[in-house]
Formats: sequence, C-alpha cells, structure tokens
Amino acid sequence: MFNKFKPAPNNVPTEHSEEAAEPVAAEEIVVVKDEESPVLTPTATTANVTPTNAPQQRGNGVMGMLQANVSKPSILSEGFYFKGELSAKGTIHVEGSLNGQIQVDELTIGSRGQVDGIVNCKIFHIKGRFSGTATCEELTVTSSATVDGHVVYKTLSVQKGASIKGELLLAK
Amino acid sequence: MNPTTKQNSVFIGEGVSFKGSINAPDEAVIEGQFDGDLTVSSLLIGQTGRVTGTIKADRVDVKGELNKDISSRQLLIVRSTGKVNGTLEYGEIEIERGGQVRGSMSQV
Repeated sequence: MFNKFKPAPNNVPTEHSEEAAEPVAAEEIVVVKDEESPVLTPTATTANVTPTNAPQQRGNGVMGMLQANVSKPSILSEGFYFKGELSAKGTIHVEGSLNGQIQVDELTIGSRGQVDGIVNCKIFHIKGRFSGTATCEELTVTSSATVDGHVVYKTLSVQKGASIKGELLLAK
Repeated sequence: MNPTTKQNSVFIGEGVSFKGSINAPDEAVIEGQFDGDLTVSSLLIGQTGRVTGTIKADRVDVKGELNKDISSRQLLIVRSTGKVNGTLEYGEIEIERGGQVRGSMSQV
C-alpha cells in the first residue's frame, strides 16, 4: 500500500492522495468489521453451536455408523429387558434383551444384545445373540454373532468366526 | 501353477463328470461334476463345479455348487457365486454377500 502512495504524489499529488485516502478509509472500515466480526462470531457460535453439537455427538457416539441411515433408530440399551410383541417402522437397535414377536424394517442386534423369538424384518444385522425364527431380506451375521434357529433370507453374508446353528433357508 | 501336477491332489476339469469316491490326502479342485463320497483335506469347488454327495474336508471353498452332507472341520467359505444345499457341519464359516446357503447347520 505505501509503495503505491509514494509514486502517486509524484504524478498528480492531490487527486491521488484523495483517491488513496478513500480506499484506505474503506479498507480500514472493512478491517474493523473483520476484526469485530471474528470477535463476535466465535462467542456467538460457540455459545450457540456447542449445545446443539453436543447431542448430535452423543447420538453419533451411541449409534456409530448406524446414524448414517435415514431414520433414527430406537435403542433398547444394555440392561433393558423386553418381553412381548413389538412392531415398528424404521430401525431398532438392541443392546439389551428382547423376547417375543418383533416386526420392524431394520433390526440390529448389538454385540451385547440378545433376541429370542420371532423376527420379521427387511434388514437384519446380528452382532450379538439370536435364537428363534427370523424372516428377512438381507441378513448380515458378524463374527461376534451367535445364531441358533431358523432363518429365512434373500441375501446373506456371514463373517468368519460367526456361529450358526439351525437352519438357513433361501426365500424365493 | 497347473493343479494337475500337484501331488496327493485331484483335479476334475470343466466338462468332466465323475461318479464314485475319492480320497485325496491333500487337495481336490473340482471344476466339473462330482457325484459320490469325497474325503479330502482341502476342497475347492470352482464356479463351474458341482459336487453332490458326502463330503468330508478340513477346508472347503465353494464358488460353485455343493449339495448333500457336508462336513468342513475347519473353515467353510461360500463365495458370492457359491450355492450350498444340505446338512452342514463346520468349524468356522464365512459366507460372502450373495452366497446361498440352504439347510441345517451345526458347529463342530
């Protein structure tokens, strides 16, 4: 900036000094705004953002990758025991214990979860224990899973290490 | 490596149909059709392979079709093109997405 000011007075000192003064003033205002805004915005954003972010992070922590799915899952956490008939649209994630008849779009049995009964779902992820009868379209059994029973599926994938007892049937 | 030159192993190529029983101490690779009893250490069924009968093996890798009584003491792998029907006994199992398994299963 100063380099430009110095040659300017050599040619036409008055005009350029005025012109130069204006942009400087404008720049100063901009600078002041820039300085003010970062001071204001962080306080505003931190005050606003942190409380909204915290629940989201908590949600991610609990659900991990499942959060990527469209619907938010219902979670039956560890220590929770349910007996009866359960019907839901969307996703259910079980870390606790479930006993009975379950009808849902997507069921995930977490590594500590346990499900015993009749399951009817589209997508069935088993990381924990399952026993009973299941009818699903997409079945995924991970290495930590134990499956005992009768499962009807359309697409199946089983990771090495999983334990499967009982019958697997391919739906037509 | 040509599988036909391996010692203690058997290779049934595509288009070949075999009926009877085979006992191979090492490996069996089946790309054709096999009917009967098969006792082998490691069984590999290629995409064109079809095996029907009583199979006893340590390791089984299925890309084709496998029917009837199957006992895989160590590891049974069903690839995405694999089809397994019948009674299954396994040590460890792995099924790739798309693999088809029909039947009752039990762990050794």
